[in-house]
Amino acid sequence: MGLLSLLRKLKRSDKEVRILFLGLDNAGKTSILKRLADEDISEIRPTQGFNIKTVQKDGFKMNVWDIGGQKAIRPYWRNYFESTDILVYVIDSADRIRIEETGIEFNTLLEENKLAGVPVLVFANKQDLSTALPASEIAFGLNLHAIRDRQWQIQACSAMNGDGIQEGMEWALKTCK
Amino acid sequence: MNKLSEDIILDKYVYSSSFVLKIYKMIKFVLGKLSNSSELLRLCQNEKLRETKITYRIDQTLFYSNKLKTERIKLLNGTKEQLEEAYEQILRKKKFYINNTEIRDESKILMKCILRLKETYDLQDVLTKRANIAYDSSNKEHEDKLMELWKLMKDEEKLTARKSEQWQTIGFQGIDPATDFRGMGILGLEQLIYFAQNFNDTAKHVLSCSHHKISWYSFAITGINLTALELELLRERYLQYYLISHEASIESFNEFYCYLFTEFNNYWFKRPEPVTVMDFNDVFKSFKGKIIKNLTDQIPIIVDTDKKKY
Repeated sequence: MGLLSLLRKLKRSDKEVRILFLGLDNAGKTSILKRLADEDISEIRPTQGFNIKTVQKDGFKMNVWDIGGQKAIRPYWRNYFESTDILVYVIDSADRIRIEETGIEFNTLLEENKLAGVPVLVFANKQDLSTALPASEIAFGLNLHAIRDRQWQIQACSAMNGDGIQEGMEWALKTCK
Repeated sequence: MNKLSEDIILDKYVYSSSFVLKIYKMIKFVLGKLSNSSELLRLCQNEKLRETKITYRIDQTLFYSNKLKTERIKLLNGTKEQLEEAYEQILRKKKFYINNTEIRDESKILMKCILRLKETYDLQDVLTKRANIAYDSSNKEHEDKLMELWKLMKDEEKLTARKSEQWQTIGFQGIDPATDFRGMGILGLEQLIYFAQNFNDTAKHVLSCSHHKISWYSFAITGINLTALELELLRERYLQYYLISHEASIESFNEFYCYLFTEFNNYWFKRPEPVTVMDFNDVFKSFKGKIIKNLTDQIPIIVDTDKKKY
């Protein structure tokens, strides 16, 4: 077998997963995505519409959809629900004023038919900031413990310094194995 | 083919593929041996070329030269002493010396062009520093600038509170613009203000276009994305010809931003199929391609159509 066909075969054996990143604007979705892809995060700008990136990891080919979080764009979120394998919900843990707002958006997502049973990973981002709420408080605020119809996990993280991102994604990929 | 485009062929095609560049370098080598000269010397001797063009071509020659790599860094990114040292080395390497002691007059042109060129690289540093200053709500200067932007765009309407849903009407994402500047820092805000101040009618027109019922987009955060795009164009050297032929200053950079903004608005509404905000990144990418084409074709950049109306 030639090298090229061998490579192709290896590539085909990668399991493809579709990952959907949602959350309010300024939660850090794009920064986490860039972290995953080992890209520079110093010059992030607000996402209009969406970004899509393919990242290879642990025998998985992750197609990550990162959708803008501003209020006016949220009605479009539902167009991206179809065949999602994992939902990643990103929260700015330091934005105490909007904790309630993000909770409402999150719970609306859990009620969506197209997302029924889809495992959800919550990233409690921006833990590098001193004003950040701990993951446990966010779990309480979001009422995560009441979730019965799917696997879920909350992961404290910081896109700024990279803490917690790997751990979170490892959990997410494990649910697909 | 008109004269202008003939003039551009060398700029456009020689450096666009490594294969053509190789052939070009071979020709240069033979030419240099035959005439005991160098490309830099020939450029400085070429009386048909304007100084702008000479400066631009010197930039290209230096960038693609394998033998002047260390000199280039010293020349364009170094201290004054390093510049002089590298300049001296180039004079020797590139046949500007007639004999061991005598230097050709063309060296003066070379120095003049290098100094102009250096300004474009200095500008990169200045702007990167501005972009790295994060917007800070506790800084009065920053806050004043933000309020200035509001007044320029919405002279008839008062902000009811510092944190307000009203910010979304000029295209910020939420109730507090502070979080939207992100990686473009204070530079993103300053460019929005420049557009709103110097091309007030145009800026307001673009804003009202951005409120389109179906094809709406967010004015302010598009502006921040355009700042990022322009900085990218500058770093990738696409703005070199523009900056050399105008002036390598923040003002020129801001003028180009206004051009980008109006061009983007036109481009957005002239897609073959109507687009929505979810198409933004695709459109933005192809828009970047179009701008790069304009720049490499050296199309004149006209920005001051209704300047200083405000």
